[in-house]
Amino acid sequence: MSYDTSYNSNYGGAFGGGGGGGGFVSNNYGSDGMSNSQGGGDRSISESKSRVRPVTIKQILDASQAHPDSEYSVDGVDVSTVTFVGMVRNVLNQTTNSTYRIEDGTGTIEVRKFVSADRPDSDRIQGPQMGDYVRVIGELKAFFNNKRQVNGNLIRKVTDNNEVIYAQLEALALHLQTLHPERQGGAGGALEETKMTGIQPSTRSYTNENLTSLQRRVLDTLSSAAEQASNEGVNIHVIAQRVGANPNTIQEACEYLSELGLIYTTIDYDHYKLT
Amino acid sequence: MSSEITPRANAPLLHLFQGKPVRLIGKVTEVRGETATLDAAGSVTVYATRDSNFKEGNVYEVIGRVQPDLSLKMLDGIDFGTNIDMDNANALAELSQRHHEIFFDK
Repeated sequence: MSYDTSYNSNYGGAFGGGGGGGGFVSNNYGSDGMSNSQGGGDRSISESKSRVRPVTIKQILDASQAHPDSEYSVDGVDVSTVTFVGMVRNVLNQTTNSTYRIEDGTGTIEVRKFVSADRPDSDRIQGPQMGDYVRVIGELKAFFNNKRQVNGNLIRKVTDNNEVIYAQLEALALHLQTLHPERQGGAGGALEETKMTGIQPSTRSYTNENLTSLQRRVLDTLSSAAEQASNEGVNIHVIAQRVGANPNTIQEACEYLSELGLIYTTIDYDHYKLT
Repeated sequence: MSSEITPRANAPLLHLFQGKPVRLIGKVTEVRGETATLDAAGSVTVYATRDSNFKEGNVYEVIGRVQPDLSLKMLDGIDFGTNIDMDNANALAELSQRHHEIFFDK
């Protein structure tokens, strides 16, 4: 869970700690002619404000398009930036970019990553190799004859293999949440299901006996807070005040709940919202 | 092989995929020559490839074809180490059956 799980966030921000990221903005839609075939070469970086949607590769391959220039739609929701975890099956290094063939058991897709102009060699030496599981964040593109491809902004090797499992559970949770938003106002639907199968439950009715009473009180406070409706969520100090506890212990409780996926950070690490 | 779809399975689900390739996450409980026994919500026999060095106690993700006796003929595999939440792995296998629409076509 080491990438930013707040899907509203500008994913540029999520790159901050990624290391070696710096080059992607300038190289992404450069004058290499790559994108011209679809007339998409002038897309501005402002699009990077779009939400990052966790998907399976099958969902990318099944994504529909109203017409050739429109956004892709997954579960009826427009999607341009996606994230998934898959295994590298082939690497093709070219002058300006590397193309990775990646599969996750649900399908295979090509991910193109532009090479940093100033250090092409180090990118490749440290880059993912065949047989590696990688986390990809990138933008969905179509090329001639509707062949789908992802322009990879981030391709990083998975170091904790739980992420392989978690990534698909997350894609499923989002899928169910999108299809059944009425179920407990969001993640509840998917999480109810995961609860039934014995996965670490992330349920809205926090009967989870694994939570401490402090953690439960934090959840209760968040769910009853008027600020929950805002984009910022609730400040830690406000939570601390309402729960009547030390902000440091609240911070710890929030970090734990965030790891469970029950809450997430918003504008900074001091503000939280329920998922 | 790599372009094939590999649905996620565990021991109780293998019967649904006879003759087909699957992806199975399991913990190695025994290694005997080129045969390994994995625990994936039940015991699974895996006929390993020559270069697979299964380590007892480690969790592996095996891509293999399901044989008539519900053993797995391994095509590929990756060592997931020892720190894997098997509850999550088994939940994913079961959930990907129930919601196969984003994982594989039935």
